[in-house]
Amino acid sequence: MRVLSHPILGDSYQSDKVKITVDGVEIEALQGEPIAAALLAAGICICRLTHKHKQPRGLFCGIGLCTDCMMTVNGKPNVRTCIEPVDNNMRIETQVGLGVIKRSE
Amino acid sequence: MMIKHEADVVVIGGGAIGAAVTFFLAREGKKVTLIECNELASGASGANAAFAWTTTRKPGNPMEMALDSIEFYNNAFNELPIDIEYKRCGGLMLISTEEQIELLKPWVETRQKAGLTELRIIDHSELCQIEPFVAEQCIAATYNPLDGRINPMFLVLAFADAAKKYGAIIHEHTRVEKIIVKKNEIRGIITDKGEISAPYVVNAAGAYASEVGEMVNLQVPIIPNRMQLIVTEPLAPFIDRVMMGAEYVTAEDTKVEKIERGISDKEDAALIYSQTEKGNLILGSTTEFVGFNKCTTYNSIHSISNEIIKFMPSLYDTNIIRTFANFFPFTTDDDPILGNVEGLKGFIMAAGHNGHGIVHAASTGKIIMELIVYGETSLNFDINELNLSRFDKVVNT
Repeated sequence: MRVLSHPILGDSYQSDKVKITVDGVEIEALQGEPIAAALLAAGICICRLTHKHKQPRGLFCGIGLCTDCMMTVNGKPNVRTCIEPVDNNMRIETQVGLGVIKRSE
Repeated sequence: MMIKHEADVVVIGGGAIGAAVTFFLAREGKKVTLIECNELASGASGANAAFAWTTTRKPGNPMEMALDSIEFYNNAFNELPIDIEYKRCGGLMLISTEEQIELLKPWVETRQKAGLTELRIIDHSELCQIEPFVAEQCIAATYNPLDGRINPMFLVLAFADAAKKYGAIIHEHTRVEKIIVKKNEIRGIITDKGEISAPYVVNAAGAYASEVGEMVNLQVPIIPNRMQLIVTEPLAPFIDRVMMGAEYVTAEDTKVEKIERGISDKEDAALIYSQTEKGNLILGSTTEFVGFNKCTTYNSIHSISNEIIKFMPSLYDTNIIRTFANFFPFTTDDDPILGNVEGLKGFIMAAGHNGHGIVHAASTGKIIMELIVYGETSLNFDINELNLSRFDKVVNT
């Protein structure tokens, strides 16, 4: 599900195709599109599991407010995938529970 | 609904102190009424770093009270109906300069002698061992296993609920308009919702205690000390211990200077860190004297963030979800004002705890109860040391 034709932004959205991995599985994405858009296009709906009951959450508000679509991106937890642009070779992981901070050197 | 009843004691202020005083008096069989103009824990008791911190308490009265309180919190499940989330996780005071170490050595020694037997200075390598997330800038720290954290809102609500079970009456959204005094004796109060007659009034109004004092022509030297704090998104357990910067001790003297200069929201921040049970980090903080202005400011939040990153660079990408400020009731000697007031029978002070209201709440409640019920306290120290009369500015007409 990608918006390729838009009444204001114009028709065909032109962007380079890149590769990203989601929980180790490689998928195709467009450079600069929101991560969540690439996930939906690949049929992936679950972004994270809740802390207490481990229930699935996915794209909800789509504008960076609700934090339901948070995932771990390149090791960094709590990234709102609906507003984070895709980059080549991004490593995206389903976030289980609360974000774990890794030590920065 | 108009209020009209009689009580043994009226407590003004529904924060940790007021709720604790109400609880201990009600448990002792007294008829207590608590008056709060907003909601319970709507002041500094509901807006702080959730510390139950003993290290910085002064040897003597304040330290004995702090130790007494944390003992109560440790066994609170016997007495209080709500889990107050008290955890004795240990507390670190982070030291970043050699100068601070030298200043803190004698400071730590006096506290070791005064009862904090396990307080000690640990060096950089030991610190890295127990808290690997703390940065290289930190050359040493003081460590006190007695320090901990607590949910201050739950503490207030727990005291209030328990007090109600013992028959206490709590009126929220009720404002005290007048305190009735006849022949230098307290007779009761008049609120916007009615009248309560009582021979005792306890002033537990925190930063607003001077307003209550004015009602009986008392000058109470308590001023609002604004502290700004940051709340982050919830994280998996990060650093369990509570932490503060050594600046809170080594730069203590500058506070009075700041008041005289009339400052300001451009002050440097010093580190405050705790992680709540839910995982959010509470980070601070600044010390500002700007009157009753509860805004948070960009400058302060910015310098707090920088201070946090200096010690914990791993938090660089962590999102801030809220900021808030509070008014700690500040006294110039950093001690609370407790006990009877000369020349005004029945008026009891229980305010001015500055940042230590939570760790002093239980013992303050107990002491005020003992003063009212037995006329003396079980402290090993003289409670009169903490009387209002230690400030010579007091005018009583």
